Amino acid sequence: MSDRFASQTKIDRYLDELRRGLRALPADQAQDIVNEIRSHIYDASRLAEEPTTDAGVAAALKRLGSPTALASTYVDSTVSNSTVIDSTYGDSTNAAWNPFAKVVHRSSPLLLVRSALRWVSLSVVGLFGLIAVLAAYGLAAVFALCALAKPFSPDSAGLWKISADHVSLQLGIGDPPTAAGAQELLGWWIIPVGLIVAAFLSWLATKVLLRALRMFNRGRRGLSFGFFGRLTYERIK
Amino acid sequence: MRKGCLELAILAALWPGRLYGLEIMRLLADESALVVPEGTVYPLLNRLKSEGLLSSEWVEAEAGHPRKYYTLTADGRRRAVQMARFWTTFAASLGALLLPLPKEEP
Repeated sequence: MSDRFASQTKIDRYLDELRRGLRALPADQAQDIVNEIRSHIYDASRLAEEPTTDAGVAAALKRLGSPTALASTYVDSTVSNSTVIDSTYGDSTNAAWNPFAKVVHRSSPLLLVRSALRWVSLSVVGLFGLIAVLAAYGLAAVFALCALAKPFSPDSAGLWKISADHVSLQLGIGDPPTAAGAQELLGWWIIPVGLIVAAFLSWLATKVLLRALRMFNRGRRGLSFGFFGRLTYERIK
Repeated sequence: MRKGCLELAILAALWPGRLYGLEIMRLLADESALVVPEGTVYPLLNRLKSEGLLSSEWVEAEAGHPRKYYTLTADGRRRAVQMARFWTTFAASLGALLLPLPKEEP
């Protein structure tokens, strides 16, 4: 009986650790995964049918690998939804279901947003990171809008230098700046330059966001989780 | 082994009907000597589900705890057939290429 109790504690610890690793996923999905792994451990160690042996549980947990590693496999495959798009065998139209095709990571926007929200709700770095990323997206949108608006209102869309001693720039679609020394910098070049800058900024912001989320999801963002996580797991083993 | 092969194996294992994770792993090991670690299979099942190829349901079992059963969706069945067709063509053409090779080590 005490043996069973000890095994149950081991299982609970493993699942707690797993749940911590899955915090980047929506709560309902994480809970479903934890329940499934619990069910697996019971089956694999035959806890439900026979009087349990400590060794059975230990073996089942060992086969599952560390809870942190298991969690990051889940999170990696969910956040960057691996989709098969590149074919190394056969023509590219086959790629979607070609078992030999390269697996390429593609991100679904919805999952990214959910994951980003979790990131923000769980860390201060996340909050500032997301503000920076959103600012970059916003700036990209302004550049793109200016470039697109230029043909329709050439006088008011553009990049402006307001005065010689103030190095402030005005990027706008409204009325042109009225200050004396106001000077438009790019003219029609705003169209190609604006589009390129917009594309670059949004590419950069996406790249930074993906990278930050991946790091966050792997639990490497701070000492506390990773350190205690590993410490706890050593005890389980 | 490419992930796609394991994906095909899982879809094929589920063709006759619903199974839970451990059953799928046992089937792969028994039928095709594919021994795949739990740490790979469960996350893959989760991904196939999020791609809409599988659906899952919790079923109360006599064992005393519920089990999560997976079923192929219509999309999953379609994907399984496509992948199987591709695989068969590939295996046949590779087989032709292998014909000249001796059956046993010289």
